Amino acid sequence: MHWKRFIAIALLFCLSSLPLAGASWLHVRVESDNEEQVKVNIPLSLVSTVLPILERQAPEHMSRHGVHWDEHEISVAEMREIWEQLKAEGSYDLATIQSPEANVAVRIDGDYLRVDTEESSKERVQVRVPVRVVDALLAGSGEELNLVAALEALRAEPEQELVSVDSEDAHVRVWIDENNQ
Amino acid sequence: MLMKLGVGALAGVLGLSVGAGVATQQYGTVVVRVEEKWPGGDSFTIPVPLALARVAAGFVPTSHLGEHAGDLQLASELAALVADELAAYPDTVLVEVTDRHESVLVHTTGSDLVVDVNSDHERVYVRVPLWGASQVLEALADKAH
Repeated sequence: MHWKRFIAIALLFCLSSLPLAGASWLHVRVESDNEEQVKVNIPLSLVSTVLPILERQAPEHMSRHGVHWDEHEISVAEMREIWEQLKAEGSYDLATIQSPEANVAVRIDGDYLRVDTEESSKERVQVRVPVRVVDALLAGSGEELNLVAALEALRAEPEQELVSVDSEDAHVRVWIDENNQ
Repeated sequence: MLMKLGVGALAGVLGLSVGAGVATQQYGTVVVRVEEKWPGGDSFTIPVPLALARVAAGFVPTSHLGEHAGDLQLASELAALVADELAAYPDTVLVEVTDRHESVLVHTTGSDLVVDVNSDHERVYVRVPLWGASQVLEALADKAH
């Protein structure tokens, strides 16, 4: 398990849903023990403005057909089917993944899809993605993720932390709020 | 007679200067600054008025642009939209990456985009007025079509 994977997942959800009205920002912070620091501040309205144009005029640049997980490829149709089944089950633990680095629990908790490691794990990971955002992302049919809809759903959310990772060598936070820094 | 010619020439020069100044201010100026930090290293700054670049775009042979028409149009449209969006926000650090030996800073100043790379060996600073750049790209895209 690596923190970069969680950043990628978080950015996928966040960049695919933009706040419409002005002032919502997506922030990423990475601090590592080798003194490397990364700060990213992106106005979500900027993404919501640019994304539809890219989708319309440069679809070949938009890779949004399913996801790769290790060596496996999950199609959008499969993701949609899995998601609907999971939601139909209500709030409960979806899966528990055990590895040498961390034990990970995936669950739907109220309005959020949550991924959390146990406190005893070497890496502490917390991911909170609003269910509405996932719904929007998987809305529609065919083999395309609906990034614009997901972005709009995210922009409708209040400020909150989406991803937090604390490992031995890095600390990562991804959140949205109304501040530009 | 000589005096009238002198006044006319002066008025012409002043008119051109004012016109050029207005155009330069309207389109902005791309600034590239490089500073080499080793002994004897060079330091130089290259300002490129985008008004001049827009005029120069008219002289680019169409044969060299045709295959890039779509990309130019897309880049022009994106640059204009991003310029409008950025102008609506306060000046902001969009990306900052630092380690022991190098820092990369991407920030906005109005609707200008600034990239500042500073390492132990050199510093490179680039400032691009996005709206002016979009106009140059649009001129190229129009010519390509």
